[in-house]
Amino acid sequence: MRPVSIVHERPRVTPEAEPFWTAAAGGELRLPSCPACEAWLWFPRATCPTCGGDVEWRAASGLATLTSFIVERRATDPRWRDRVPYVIGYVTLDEGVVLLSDIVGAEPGELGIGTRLRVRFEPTDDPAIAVPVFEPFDEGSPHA
Amino acid sequence: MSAVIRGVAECPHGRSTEPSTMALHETLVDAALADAGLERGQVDALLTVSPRSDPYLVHAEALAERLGIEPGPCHSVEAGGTAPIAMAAAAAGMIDAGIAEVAVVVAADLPLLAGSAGYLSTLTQVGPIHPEFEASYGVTPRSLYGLMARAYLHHHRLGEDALGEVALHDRAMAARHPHARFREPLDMAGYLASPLVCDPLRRPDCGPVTDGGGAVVLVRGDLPAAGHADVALAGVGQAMRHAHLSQAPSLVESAAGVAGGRALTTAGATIEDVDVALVYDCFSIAMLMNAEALGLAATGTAAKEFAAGAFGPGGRVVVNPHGGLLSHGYPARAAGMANLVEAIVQLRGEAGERQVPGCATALVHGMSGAQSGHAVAILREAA
Repeated sequence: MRPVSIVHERPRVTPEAEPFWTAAAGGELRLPSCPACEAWLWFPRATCPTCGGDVEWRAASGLATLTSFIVERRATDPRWRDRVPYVIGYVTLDEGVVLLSDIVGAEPGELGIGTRLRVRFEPTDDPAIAVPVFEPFDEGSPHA
Repeated sequence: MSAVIRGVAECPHGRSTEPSTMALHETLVDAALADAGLERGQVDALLTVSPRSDPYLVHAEALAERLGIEPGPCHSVEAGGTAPIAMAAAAAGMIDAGIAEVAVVVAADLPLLAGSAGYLSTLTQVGPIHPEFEASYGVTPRSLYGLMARAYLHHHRLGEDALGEVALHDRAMAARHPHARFREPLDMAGYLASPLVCDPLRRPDCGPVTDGGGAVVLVRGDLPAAGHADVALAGVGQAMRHAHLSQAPSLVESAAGVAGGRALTTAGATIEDVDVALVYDCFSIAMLMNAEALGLAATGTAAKEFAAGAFGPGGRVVVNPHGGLLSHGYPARAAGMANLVEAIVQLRGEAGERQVPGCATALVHGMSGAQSGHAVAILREAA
C-alpha cells in the first residue's frame, strides 16, 4: 500500500473559493452549484458561467469514478522526486464534474478506469489548509 | 499585393554552441534574411516568442535593440505551440494591410543552458495546470498527456504499442534530417524496453527538451524576388476549446479538426489535397488524437496507419518528414517552429534525401497547452 502521509504544498488560495477551502479544512467537499441552471460547477467560483447568477455552495457526495490515471515514475520536478511512484487521476464526481487529484490508498495495479472512489483530505504545509484526494473503496461497505 | 513567405532558417536541435539566447536569435534572423535576399535594415515588423531562457516579457523589443533595427510592430506572442502559425498569420495580415513590407517571425530557446529540469519546473508553474486547485498534486503537462493516453488506449481498446508506432515513425523520419535531435534507429522491442516515465508514457513518447529554433521572413509579394520560389499562406484556421483538461468535453478528442477545417476552407482545399502534414506531437498521444481530428486517419486508426506506412515516404500523405517533436526535438518555447520551417523547405523542393516528390500542398499544425488551442496553416508554392 502506498504511503499516504504526503504533505502537499500549500495551494494559492483565493477569497473567491473561501467556502471550498473552509469546508475542506473540516473534511467536507463543498462545491459551487447554480440553483437556476441546476448544475454543479468546477472549478470553484462565485458566479455561474452560464447564467451569471450567484452560486450556492453545497456539500457534494464525495463519491466518484476514476476516468483516467497516470503513474508518475520519474518526476521531472525536484520537489516531487521522493514521492515517486505516485498516481494522479481525473475523477468524475457523482455530481458530474471532473477533478484532477491524487489517487491514494491503492497500488497502481489495483486501479482501472471505472474504479469507484471516495474523497478524503490530506494536509498541506499550512495547517489551516487541506486538499481533497481520492481513494478506492468497496461500494458494498458503509463509506460514511 | 499579398504577403509571401520568402526566407527561412533553422538551427540544429540538440545542445547549442551559441553563447546566448540572443545570439541564437541573431543567427537565425540573419540566416532567414540572407535566404530572402534582404538585410536587417529592411525589417519593419518583428514577431518573437519570449524564450524561457531570457527573462524579457516583451522579448521582441530586446531582440530589435540587439539587431540594431527600429521596426514598427515589435511583438512577442504568447500562444504556446500555436505561436509560429499565429505569428505568420499576423505578419501576413500586417503586410496585407499595408502596416509592414518585411516581417521577421522568429522563435528560439536554449532550455539546456538552465538545464531541462529547470525548464520543466517552470512549465509546471505556467502550463495549463490550475494554480489553486491542481498545482499542489505534483502534476506536470506530461501528466496531462499521460491521462489522455490512458483514456485513448482504453476507449479504442488499443495496446501500448499504439503509442510506440508514433515514436518509431518520428525516429525513422528524423534519421534523414541533419538538424534532428534523435537520429538513431528505434524498433518496437527497443520502445517497449524503454522506461515508463509517466505510465503509460515511455521516454520515447515524450518530446525531448532541446535547444533549437527557426525563423521565417514574410514580404510583400511584389518586392524583388530572391532567386527561389516563394511560398504562399493559402489559409489559416485557429480553434480554442479549453485551458484546463478537466474542462474538456472528452479526454480522447482533439479540436485540431476545427482549426483544420477553417484553414482548408480558406485555402479552397480538402485534406486529400495535402501532400505533407506537419502535425504537432509533443507527446505520441497528441499525434494520434491530432492526426485523426485533422482527418488524416479515421477515429482510432492512426496507430494502425502509422504501422502500415501510410504516413511514411510513398504513403498516402507524408507526416512529419522532419521527425516531429518526438525526434526532431522539443525546443521549449520555440516548439512548433520546425513544423512551419519544414513545410516551407518541402514546398521549395529543398529537403534533400527526405524531399517528398511533387510536394504542392503542405498542412502545418500547432497546438498549445493540453489539447487547448490549435492552429493550422495550408501552404502552397506562391503563384
